[in-house]
Amino acid sequence: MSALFLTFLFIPAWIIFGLFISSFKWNSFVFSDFSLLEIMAIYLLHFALSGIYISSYPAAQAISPSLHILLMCRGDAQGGLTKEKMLQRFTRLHIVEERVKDLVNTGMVKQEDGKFTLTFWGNLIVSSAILYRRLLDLDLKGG
Amino acid sequence: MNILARILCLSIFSPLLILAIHAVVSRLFRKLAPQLAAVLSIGFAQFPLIFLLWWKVLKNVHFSGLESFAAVFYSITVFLSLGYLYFHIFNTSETARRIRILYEIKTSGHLSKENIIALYKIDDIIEMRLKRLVETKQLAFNGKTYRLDQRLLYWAAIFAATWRAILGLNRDEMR
Repeated sequence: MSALFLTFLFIPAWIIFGLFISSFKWNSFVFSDFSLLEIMAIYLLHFALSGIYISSYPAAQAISPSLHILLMCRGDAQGGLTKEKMLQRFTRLHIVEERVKDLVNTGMVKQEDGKFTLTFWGNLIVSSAILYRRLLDLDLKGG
Repeated sequence: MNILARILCLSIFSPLLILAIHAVVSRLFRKLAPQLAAVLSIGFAQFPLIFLLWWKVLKNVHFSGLESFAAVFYSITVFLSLGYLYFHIFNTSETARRIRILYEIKTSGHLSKENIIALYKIDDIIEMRLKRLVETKQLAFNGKTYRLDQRLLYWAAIFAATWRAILGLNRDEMR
């Protein structure tokens, strides 16, 4: 995920605003006819469309039990599927352990002496989520 | 204020408006499925945004037809894209296992791998998701079996599986 943020958000920001600044300093033609507001408008559109790709990416990268259940039901469209048949297809490895690995790999959680604790970023993310849910008068759930 | 500055302000302001409307909707309609409440809030927010776009940008400026079309197209693209992003942020807070794990670690201070695994009974996870899918009418339950109902999320599942295949991610993680 951090690669996506870098590729779609940070690097384009550096390029776009860097070229804009360079058009003043070195009189280069690139972006010299654009005002700062126009550059910001270009970047905002790029940001919004990139946000669609980045926010949808976890559906492809991580196994989503909900989406997987729907694909299972497709195969048994006529008879339907019981919950017991669905449970046979899921393992604890895929439900939990892969997600813990993701959290360690993305620097949200660190492991010391066999225990997991939050890093600064993990704490920031979950604190922001708690605050956000409070604004909506909802408890923080998660899956 | 410059016309482009107004469009930018409106666009940057749009997620805050969605949040404000969502805060009201989630309090007034507690029995509504949370994802539906979020989608409705995003939909409701488009009306004042489009009104403000007309009132503050299009009404008093003499744009050519193409310029008006460009302003409207740009604004609606950004409003809807940021709305989609908002939905995913909300859905992450609602359903993501990673958020739940982070929350449990924060609450406890630290957790071992066994503690984390104990949080998740597979039966409960699947039960929660089945309940959500029935509430949002993606699945129908006849008391014994589940069948596909409305197909919106089903086509999202097909799209995600296709995308996964294009990216060459491991297709066979689930047995």
